[in-house]
Amino acid sequence: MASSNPPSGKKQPIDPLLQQRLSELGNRRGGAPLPPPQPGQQPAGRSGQQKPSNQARPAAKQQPGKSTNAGASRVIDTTPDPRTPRTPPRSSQSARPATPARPGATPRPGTAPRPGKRVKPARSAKMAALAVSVASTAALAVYFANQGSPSQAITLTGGTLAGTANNGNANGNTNGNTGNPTATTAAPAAGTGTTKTPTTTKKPTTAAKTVQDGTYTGGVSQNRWGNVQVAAVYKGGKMVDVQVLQYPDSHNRSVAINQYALPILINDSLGSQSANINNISGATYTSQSYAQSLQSAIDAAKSASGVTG
Amino acid sequence: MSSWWWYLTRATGIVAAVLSVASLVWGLFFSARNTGTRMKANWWLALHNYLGGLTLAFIGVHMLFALGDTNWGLRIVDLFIPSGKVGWAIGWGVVAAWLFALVVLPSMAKIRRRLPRKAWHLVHLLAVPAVVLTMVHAYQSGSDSGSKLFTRGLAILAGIAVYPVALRLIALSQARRAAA
Repeated sequence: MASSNPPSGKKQPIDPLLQQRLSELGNRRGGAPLPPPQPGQQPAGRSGQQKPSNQARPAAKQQPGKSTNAGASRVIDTTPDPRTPRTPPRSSQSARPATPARPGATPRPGTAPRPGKRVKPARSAKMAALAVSVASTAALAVYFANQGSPSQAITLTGGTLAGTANNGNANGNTNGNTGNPTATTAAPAAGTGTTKTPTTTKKPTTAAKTVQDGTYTGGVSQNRWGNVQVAAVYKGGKMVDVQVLQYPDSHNRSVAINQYALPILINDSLGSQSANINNISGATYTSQSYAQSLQSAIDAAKSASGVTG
Repeated sequence: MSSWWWYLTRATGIVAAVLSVASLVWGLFFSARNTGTRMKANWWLALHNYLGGLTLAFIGVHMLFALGDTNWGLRIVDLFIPSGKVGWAIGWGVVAAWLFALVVLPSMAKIRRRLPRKAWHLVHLLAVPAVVLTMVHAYQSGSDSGSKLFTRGLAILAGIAVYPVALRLIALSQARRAAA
């Protein structure tokens, strides 16, 4: 092995270009990479990438009095250079592995499309989400359809004369507890209600502070879905029941809405003993019409009983 | 036949509400980098984008079915302009639909590239009030709002949506304190 040491014994740094050529030569021969440069020496210009053999290389500079180590046998250290990133040698025959393209990425102009399938992230999850959404929609629609026409939980009382009105017995009856004034109708509070003319009205002989017992029918309140009419039943000066005489029932939807809304409205009005109740969500029109009709029934009860305020 | 329009309107509305919450949750988890290690970040982002688009699609179908249901008496203008004439319960739904459109459409790749990032982010945050208005619309105008199952499901959805929002706000406040 030719020594590169000058006669003075001092080691001189190896030309990095020369070292690179030597490393390429070593890699081509299947040898191990060169040892790392000694401290004080210039680092090797090796990047680990092997250049094609047919590429022309500039000739290495020869220092006077020295001979290059090209072709000379050297002890090649197998330890890899920790400072340079290592990449596996690439032969000209092996194809570059296809890397998945970014979603939405378009190939650069002038470059050939890389082989391999374009991977779309979350493709199976997207398909699953779409399938679940469509299936849920269909299942919900079928479920709603199978609910069918709900039975009329709200029984209608007959006609506008509700309760136990008895005109014959009411003559001379001054007792507010047993008096049954005949059904009277009053104009609705406001808005869309229609007014029915009162049939008979009995004036109490004594000024009663409470509403007399009986059933008082309110006016018909119209909304876009139909008519709503209720009658308030008083007993002992208190409203004890609200009877629904009319409610929208032309469609299954109206029946379904009123089936759950009207009982709630009735309970609220009995609790508040007035027509000041909150609207039921999803049954706004029914709630408003109910309040109007009930208010008219309450007004009729008060006027029939001589209650002011 | 008219009942089927009603059934499909309700069904698509419920599914759209669920999809909106799912998309919101996905996006918030992704933005908080709380995606775990099992799936890559691009998987989360792709699914979030897809869920947003699917939400908008189901909202459109929901509006079409509502338009076809003659019992509602809705006009085409009622689907785009919220007003009190048909009830603000439906009006809130219209506003929510517009907000979702503002959130999803500028996020498309071609449009997003032209928007400044801050502007896009501010518009994208409209997804949170959009989900809130969706809940309000579903509760006020939904024919199923009398059903306990529906109201409980709506409450659960609201809880699922609130959790990642709270997490995100807490993380943001902690980051600001650390930066300060």
